[in-house]
Amino acid sequence: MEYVIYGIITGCILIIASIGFSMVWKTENFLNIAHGQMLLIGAYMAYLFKSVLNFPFALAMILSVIATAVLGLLLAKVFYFPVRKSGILVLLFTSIGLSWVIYGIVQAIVGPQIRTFGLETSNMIEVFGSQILSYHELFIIVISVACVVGLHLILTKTKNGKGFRAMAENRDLAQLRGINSKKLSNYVWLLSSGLAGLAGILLAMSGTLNMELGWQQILIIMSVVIVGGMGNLYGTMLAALIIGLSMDVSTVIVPTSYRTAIAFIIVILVLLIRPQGLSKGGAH
Amino acid sequence: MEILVFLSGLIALGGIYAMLAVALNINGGILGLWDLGVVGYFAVGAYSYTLLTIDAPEGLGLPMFAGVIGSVIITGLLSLFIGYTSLRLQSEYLLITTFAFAEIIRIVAANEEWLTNGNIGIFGLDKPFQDLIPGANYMLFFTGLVLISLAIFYFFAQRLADSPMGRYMRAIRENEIVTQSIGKKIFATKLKVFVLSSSMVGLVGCFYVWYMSIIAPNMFTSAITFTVWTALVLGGIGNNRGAVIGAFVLILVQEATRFIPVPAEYSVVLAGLRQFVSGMMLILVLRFLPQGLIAEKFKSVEKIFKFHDNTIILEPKGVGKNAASQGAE
Repeated sequence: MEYVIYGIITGCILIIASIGFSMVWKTENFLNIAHGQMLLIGAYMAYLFKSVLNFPFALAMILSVIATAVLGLLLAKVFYFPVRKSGILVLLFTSIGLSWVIYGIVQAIVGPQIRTFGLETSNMIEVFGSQILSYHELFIIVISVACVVGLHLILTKTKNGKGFRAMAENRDLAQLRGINSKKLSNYVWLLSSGLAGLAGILLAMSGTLNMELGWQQILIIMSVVIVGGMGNLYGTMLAALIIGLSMDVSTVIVPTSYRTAIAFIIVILVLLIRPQGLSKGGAH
Repeated sequence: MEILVFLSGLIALGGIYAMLAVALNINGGILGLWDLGVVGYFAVGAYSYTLLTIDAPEGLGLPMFAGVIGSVIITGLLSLFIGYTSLRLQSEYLLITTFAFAEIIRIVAANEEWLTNGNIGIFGLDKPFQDLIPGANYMLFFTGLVLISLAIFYFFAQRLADSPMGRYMRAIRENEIVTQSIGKKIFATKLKVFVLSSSMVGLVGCFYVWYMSIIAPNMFTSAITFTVWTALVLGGIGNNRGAVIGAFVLILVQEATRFIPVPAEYSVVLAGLRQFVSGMMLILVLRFLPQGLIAEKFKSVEKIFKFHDNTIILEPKGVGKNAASQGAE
């Protein structure tokens, strides 16, 4: 039972981490490898606010999400927008280069030590006499449900959200119909980086904070997005839960160190059986 | 003398990466497969060589020569399996599948302790002709060996690129559907080239084992894949000379900073700086020289068909091919 809970928590964090990646893939058509490093930035920003500047945790979280979002947009403007015309392979490699740049800078500043936020351990919630999950874990689940619901509302109810969906289907046509794709893609980058930062914080909350966080997560994020079907947001959410659950539940049978291998095996199987992902969508 | 040993070590490492880049260029550059599994075949080559040559009970104790051939065969067979399952997929999907296979290989190597001694790895491995050459000069000899093999790799890849097969591979890269329509077998060719390129990478694995004289799973992280691809992009995708130059430039930049004398507390900063410089180099080259330091030349085709006048390089939307063809437009 507790493995299922762990799985759901992993899945919830993965949802937040993958949605932004998926949105960028859908609008910009490339795999943004540097998305993993945005998680790293978010997590270390929160560490800076919480443990160095001694802000309350909630405030530290909000500040660092906003800071990561703005930084993400700036990085996109400086690094990605000028090479957009050169095609997706150039964009892909630019994002790999950017990952190294970010990784290098963060490493130079923080060094290799493993850190934690130093949050006091929270009480367990008792349901029917058995301890199921801690308040921290409940918090992670609530946040990610809120994100999913919020995102759904934005995508279906607001003008920008509808514009995003139109742009994802066909950028040229959307532009022709008077959708300001420049403004919209700024929103996408803000939202995507902000969500990445949030995911990084939650990840560091449920575990520890180390330099390899970005590289480790980007592999799993890519798996989730592929399993969910290219750029399909709802498929991505489902896939995040499935992969999160199977990674943690599988530890009952196989050694824990094979946890990430499970995610990759799922990806390979899904691609072989259903190359278009769990749900149809995107260009193929 | 010391500086000579240091330099030869640097050149040997650069040569190893250059061999990897040349092998990857066949597969990723000329054929245009988005293969992020390089480190997987590299690891399999290195591990199978080690396990074939070290003494029982861990290994089979075969002679070095047999170990090299065996590792190429094993890597070839494994890449046949990986290729057969994944080569039907396109661009990003292929990229992720190969990446996933490479990660699985590393995780298996880290966990199956009966086979690979897990994360601790295997130490004190023999190097070729170790007994014949005195210790001080060994690095020089080894560097020579690496450079000779690099030359063989280079000439082989160059011959392949100029052959009808090379043109055919470029045709698949530029437009798969058209190539199929003129009656070429796409999947079989991709598989052949994929296995060839991966076996070459497996062979380089042996050199890496000799260079390091230890083997452990954390030597085979995805950073190697990214380094090789970066070298290829720096030098110019689809072009063997570019692959070699890119690899040497990248390794020199990365390793040269390792020997700047700094106080210990700044070594972390320096390590970060190294990553920063590699990343910046990649970004700047892509921005200002999207074809790399040396652009791909369609040597034989150019002469026959005047390829540059013919600007119809079809680029189906969303299935974008690579930087070289982008630049050629």
